[in-house]
Amino acid sequence: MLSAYLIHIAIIIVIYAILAVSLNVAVGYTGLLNLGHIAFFGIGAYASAILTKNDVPYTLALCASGIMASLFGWLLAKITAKLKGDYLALATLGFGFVVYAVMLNWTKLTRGPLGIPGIQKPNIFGWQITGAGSYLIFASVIALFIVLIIYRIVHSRYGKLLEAVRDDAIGAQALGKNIYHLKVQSMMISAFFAGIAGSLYAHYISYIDPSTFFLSDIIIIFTIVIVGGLASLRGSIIAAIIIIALPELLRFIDIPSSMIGPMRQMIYAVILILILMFRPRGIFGRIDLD
Amino acid sequence: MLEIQGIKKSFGGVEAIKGSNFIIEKNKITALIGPNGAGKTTLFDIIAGFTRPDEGRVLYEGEDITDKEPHIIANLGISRTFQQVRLFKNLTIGDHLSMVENNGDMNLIKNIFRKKKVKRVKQETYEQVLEDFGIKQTLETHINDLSFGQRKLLQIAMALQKPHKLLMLDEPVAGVNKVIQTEIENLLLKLKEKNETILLIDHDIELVHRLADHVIALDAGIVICEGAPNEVLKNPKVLEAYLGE
Repeated sequence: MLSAYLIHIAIIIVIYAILAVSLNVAVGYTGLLNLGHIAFFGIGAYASAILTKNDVPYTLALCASGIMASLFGWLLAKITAKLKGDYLALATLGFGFVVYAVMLNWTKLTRGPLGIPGIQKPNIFGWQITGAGSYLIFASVIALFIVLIIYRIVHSRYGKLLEAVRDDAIGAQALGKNIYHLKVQSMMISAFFAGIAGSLYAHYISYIDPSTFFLSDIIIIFTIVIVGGLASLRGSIIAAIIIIALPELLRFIDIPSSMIGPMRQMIYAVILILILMFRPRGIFGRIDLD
Repeated sequence: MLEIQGIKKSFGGVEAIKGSNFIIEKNKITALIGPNGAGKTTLFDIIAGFTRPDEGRVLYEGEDITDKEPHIIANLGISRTFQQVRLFKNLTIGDHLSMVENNGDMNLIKNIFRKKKVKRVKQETYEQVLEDFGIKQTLETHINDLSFGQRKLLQIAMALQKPHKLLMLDEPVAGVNKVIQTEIENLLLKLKEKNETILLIDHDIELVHRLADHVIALDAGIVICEGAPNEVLKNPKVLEAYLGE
């Protein structure tokens, strides 16, 4: 029983680690303050669930979830191309609201607040994943692959260009670098992997509804990124473990179950405030929050 | 090489440039002088594509570049520095010098599979650049660890390393100590010997006198005088603009 519970927590950690690492590409490495990342997570989850419900093989649905989220990333980046800082944050927050409203109201496609139940477990070229243990292995392999790709990107010359855009976009333009192109690509990469995380989530929980992808959840992902440190993949992974696992201790304290939710939010807020006060760069961060 | 035709630019209700016309000739150093607020940096920004003019055109080697994006203009061969140094504070000197080249760094897929290690030959080239410019630091040094003067030198080194036909330097010696000022001046004199085409903004009249082949004086957004340094620097209109006499 305890091991099933621990495996469940581990799967959630893996999914949130992918979300945090992918958000770090946009926020930490490129300096795009994207508050709509949760929308890409939702788009990936819905895309994968709807496709597999319509008999599309899981492997194709998994890829499609990333591509679909990435296309929305492209759209968001194009719309917000001239914005930066607070204005970009507000615009991306608005995007998150719009996607949430679509999930809630396009009932023919998403079943609205009723959500989509009975999302089947993945079948990878004949290997049917049924147990939580095998799902953990599957999700971890995907996460490892994603982290490896993002690691290669951010440590390449291309990654240095993303950092140049973050540090001084005008300086990068003067060197002949197309910063709009870089911002759009960064947002697409970030959205792609968030979409993959969405698919992993939908097929693990087997039920999704819009409330899972409401904007309040972006606070958890942002807390992970800030605690781990901007522009640090290692930080995002370790912070995902801390931020997801720490509130679970509440389950072992004798408090009413109705209190657990609000207390969880309080823990996130306290961790965020403590980090911002005493270690603004996060655990492994290299850059300051501007 | 570069022709400015009837450029006008206003910011809000303030006219920064009121219809400027001039030509930058190839293989010469042209200095753009004028008091603060004369519109020198605005003109630089218009040429480099960072600011769109309200009227007028910028022709570069006969091509209209007025509405082109800054990165396109930079890749056409117009290399520039900024009055306030624009470097990337979290990156190293080596990262900066590598970025100057058109080395396929914009290609995402190629970069995922490329070997990370910088070739030894490249590293030696970059180290030579540091030596040539008197920057006594390693390639791994972060920009935050450089003095203002070293940053200014690195910015000039980058502008020069970038393949270019026209070099635009915005107050290259402003704010640096005497030693670095002399280093930069010597460097500019070497560039003059090599017949580089340079457009230079500077307030140091003596420096302009020593370096420039041609001087254009701006005041309140219009060209008040242009010609050889001797003539322009003695022109009553220029003296009045600078000294208020």
